[in-house]
Amino acid sequence: MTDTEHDFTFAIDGKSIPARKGDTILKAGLRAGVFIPHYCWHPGLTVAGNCRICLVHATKTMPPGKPVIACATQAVEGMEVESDGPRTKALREGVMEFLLVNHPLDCPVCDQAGECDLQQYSFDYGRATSRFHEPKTQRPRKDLGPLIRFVGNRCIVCTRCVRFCEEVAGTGELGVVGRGAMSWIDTFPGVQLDNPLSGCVADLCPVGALLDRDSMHTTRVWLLRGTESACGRCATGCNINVETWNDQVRRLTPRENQAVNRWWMCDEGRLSYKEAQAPTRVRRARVDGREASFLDALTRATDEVRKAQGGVVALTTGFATNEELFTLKALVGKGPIAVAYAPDGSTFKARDGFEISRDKNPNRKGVEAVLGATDAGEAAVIAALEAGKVGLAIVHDGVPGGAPWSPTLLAALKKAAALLVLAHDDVPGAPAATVLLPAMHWTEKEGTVVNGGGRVQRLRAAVPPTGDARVDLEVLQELARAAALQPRVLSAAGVFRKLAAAAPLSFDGMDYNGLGALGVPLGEGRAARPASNGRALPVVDARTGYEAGPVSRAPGRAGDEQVRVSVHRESAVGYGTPRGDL
Amino acid sequence: MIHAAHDDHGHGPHAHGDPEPAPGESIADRTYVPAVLRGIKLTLARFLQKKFTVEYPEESVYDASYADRGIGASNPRHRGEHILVKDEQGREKCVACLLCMAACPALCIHIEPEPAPAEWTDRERRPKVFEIDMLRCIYCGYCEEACPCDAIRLTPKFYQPTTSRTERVYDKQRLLENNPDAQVPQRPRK
Amino acid sequence: MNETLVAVLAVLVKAVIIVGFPLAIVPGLIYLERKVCSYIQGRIGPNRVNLTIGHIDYLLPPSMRGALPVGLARFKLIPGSLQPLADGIKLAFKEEIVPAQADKLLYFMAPVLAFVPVATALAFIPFGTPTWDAFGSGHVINLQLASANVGVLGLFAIGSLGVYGIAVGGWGSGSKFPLMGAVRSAAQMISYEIAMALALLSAIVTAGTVDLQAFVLHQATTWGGAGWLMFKQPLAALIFLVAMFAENNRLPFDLPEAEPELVGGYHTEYSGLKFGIFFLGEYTAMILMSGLFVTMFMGGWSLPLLIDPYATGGLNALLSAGVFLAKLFLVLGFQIWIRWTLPRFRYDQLMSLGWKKLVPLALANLVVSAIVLTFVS
Repeated sequence: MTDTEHDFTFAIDGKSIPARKGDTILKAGLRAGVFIPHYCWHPGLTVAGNCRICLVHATKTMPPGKPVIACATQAVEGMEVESDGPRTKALREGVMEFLLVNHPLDCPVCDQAGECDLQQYSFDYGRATSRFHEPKTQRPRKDLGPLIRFVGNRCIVCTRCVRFCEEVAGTGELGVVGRGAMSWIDTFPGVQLDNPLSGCVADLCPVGALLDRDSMHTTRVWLLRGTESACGRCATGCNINVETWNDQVRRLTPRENQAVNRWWMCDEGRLSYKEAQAPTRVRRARVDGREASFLDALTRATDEVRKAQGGVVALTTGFATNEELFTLKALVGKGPIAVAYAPDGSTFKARDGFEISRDKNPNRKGVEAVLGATDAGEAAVIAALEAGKVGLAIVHDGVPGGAPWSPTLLAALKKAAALLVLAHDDVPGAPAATVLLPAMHWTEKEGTVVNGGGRVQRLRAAVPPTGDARVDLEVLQELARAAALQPRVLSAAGVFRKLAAAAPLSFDGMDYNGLGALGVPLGEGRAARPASNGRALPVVDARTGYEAGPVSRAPGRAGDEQVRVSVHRESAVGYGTPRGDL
Repeated sequence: MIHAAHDDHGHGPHAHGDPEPAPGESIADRTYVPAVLRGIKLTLARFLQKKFTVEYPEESVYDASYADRGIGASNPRHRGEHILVKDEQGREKCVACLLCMAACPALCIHIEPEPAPAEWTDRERRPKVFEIDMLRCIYCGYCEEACPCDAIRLTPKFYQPTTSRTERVYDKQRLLENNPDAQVPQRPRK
Repeated sequence: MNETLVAVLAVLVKAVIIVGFPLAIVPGLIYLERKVCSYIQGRIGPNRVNLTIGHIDYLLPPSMRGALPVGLARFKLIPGSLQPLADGIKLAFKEEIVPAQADKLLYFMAPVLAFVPVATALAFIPFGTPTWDAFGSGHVINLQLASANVGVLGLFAIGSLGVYGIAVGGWGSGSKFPLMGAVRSAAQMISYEIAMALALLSAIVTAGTVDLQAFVLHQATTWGGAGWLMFKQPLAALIFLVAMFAENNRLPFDLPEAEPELVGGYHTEYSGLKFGIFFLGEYTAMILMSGLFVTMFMGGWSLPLLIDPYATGGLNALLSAGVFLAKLFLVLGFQIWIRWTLPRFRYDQLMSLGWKKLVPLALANLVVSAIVLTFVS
């Protein structure tokens, strides 16, 4: 926030904090980079003020000297807040002690361990030993819905999940039942927690009380390596972390992007990584129906491209990245391209504006931006095939479960001299290929897609391609190289540079790395460019991977750094980075 | 003598001048002969002394007189091969929390957790795969230290020859059945 | 029997003994070196490759195999005694690597040059009495292969060629470390040869001969058989001893192959059997120099009260050879002992010792000896 945007300033621990009228201490502090611990507060939810961990001492409160909760107390001009001192430390220690009275401390077997706020704050503010020797209360453990398991003993009743279902999902399945120490979260009678966003409550839960049943008990969070990507399941294009271990996707979690998905993602998207492990997945290349090595198949495909002498048509889908589309376009030259789109699916509109798109094609806008109008494409392809002028038809079908090709198109494809199919799944009704190559799932892809809102976002490869599959973009470029259309195979960034230069209206001025983690809207490439030369990297405090829990990724704390470099504090000083940057 | 300091090191501009004798050095000392004689006397004494080498596979390393110093393989405090501890019902005690894996500085432990069978009411998770690469292991005992369930222990078992590397990767079954008493007996040290 | 035939036969037999001797005892010497080294360092040394009594089984007919009790069959004759054999097999099967920059001819010639002259010079060393009446046949045989009356000079002339092996090896390898090793070696050998020769001159002046057999006889017949030159010329003996270490490139003067500085010295680029021959040459040179020291300063094959220098009996001859061997091993053992005792000299210290101490000392010793001998006798 620049100086002109704030209404007044107040002080936290002597540091001057700019604030707007109506800001709470916590919100203004987080925005200014001063961290105040919080469990029940979440920027996307209303203030509940029931966990008390954000207690601070502040001046100008009534009665004077009474500790206040930073999440619900509005900052006023000239207020002096003590957030990091012996008195507040004692307050937080007391709160932690109460929260842990009935907490089972089963961190070793709890899936939240490692990204647990309770664990982190216990470490930061808690007592080393417990003074309670009474038996702990026993609260139920049950499955609240298809995706969520509730472990009552661990619950600290912060009600984030209750508020989420009420305020965001709008379905209101959850409520607090019981009284005092025996209160817990439960669904209302006869109701299941099965709204399309139910998985988000597991992300919201600051402790291990609500767990994602899908990834439960299969890994530990400190082993997961996150890749900042976008969901390739529908046109919403939620920003996500693809979390992997041992080269396998273990779970998908949402990433904050106010312009796209706020803090949420849908259950369908959350489970969509399983498509990549489907048994129908094409894992080996095939030539004339027989299994062949990838290299043999590719060699055959390049031969066919050379033989086709420009008589190439292409079929693609709304799942292809902009780079793949661009290369396909170059490959067919003036030839026609047909595009198949996945049919519309279910939609859901959350109360806070988050919406699951009806359009299940992650890149319909990108197809329009790169290829232009394609409505006549299918008819043109069929016409070319019927005329017998087609030497090679390329079917780029990267759709899990197979793209919905029209029967007439499939019938016409038989007339092509050669048919190259890049297929994700081996399903009935798929085109009978001369050369069949495995295509990649979107968690394996590198490239850009344009979501329904016209935002260009990056997909990043989180895991290596399955089976023999090689990078689709490279396969297409190998074909283009064989047809003498381009001298060498480029990375996704290189193709994007060419694309940005070739499509001035939509991708003008965009820089692949400049898209960052949050993406850039179509046509705003020049405006979104950073004012600096783009080389300076923002230096952020790098901690060890084991600490990278939800506290560090907590709302309000996550910066919008485009590039993150992990440098140890001491090394950074050694490199001459000023201490203030850390 | 201004250049005496250089001469002690034998290089510098005056390197070829004879060094000044060190204080207390007689003419005899400067011929090296007494020093050489002292040297060969010392090596002779070393030559004749008792050797400490233990001919390990044939002789036991364990020496009762050193027990309090914690050396020796038969010493109960020796950190050797691991075992996975079983509970009263013969199941592994391990709950696949992966803390040993996190604590391991040699990255020799590989565990894949899975949800426990529904009839196991006392726990939710168990290891599907539990492998220790004994070739990588440095026997530091951190895994034992990290384990919240006392499920992994280091035993004094250390006599562990195999004929292939793959045999040195112990799976769950082998770790559960590892028997520290099944050690090849050795004759006592001479 | 024909006199000439016997003489030729005797020479042939002695030649076989002289050439076979180093080949036969070098493995033993290596074993001794390793054992002494490890004992001095508080270790046990090689003890895994053993010759056991059980090995006799291989010599027995199949029907008798395995008859030995297991306890007896496992008895080790000398612990680790087959280690040098294992080392030799290892060397034989090592890959022969020839550096691309090497001068092929010189590179292949060097090991031979290092071994052959040294082995040849062994011919001058008398290893027994000069008057053995061979098996009572009336043929008198001198237990020395080349009974030249310029024995010392001949030995030096041929033995000194060994340095060419090292110099040529260093040059021919076409690599800088061997070259530096070779240059060091040549400089060191030339420097110490002067001191050595001057020490020898004192001995020659004292004994009044350059014939090595006459040297032994001189020592065996003066001072009641104990007229060994190490007693008559102690300073010359000491200088010779010191120079001997330098000539053999042995610690504390092993600068040509000072590992921390020069990798492997002149044989850095050699592998396999070529390295093995260098190795062999080095130990043969050690035998040669020790043999020379025994002959010139320790009374050679003579021993008062045990050996009559002029007797013709077979037992006497055998005993004299045994005495020579015993003295030889004493000196060899001393060399090994010193090697594992003293640290390496720095190069300037080495040169300083050679030129500024040993040469003037030897020269002074020679002058004093000459004067004393002239006026006293």
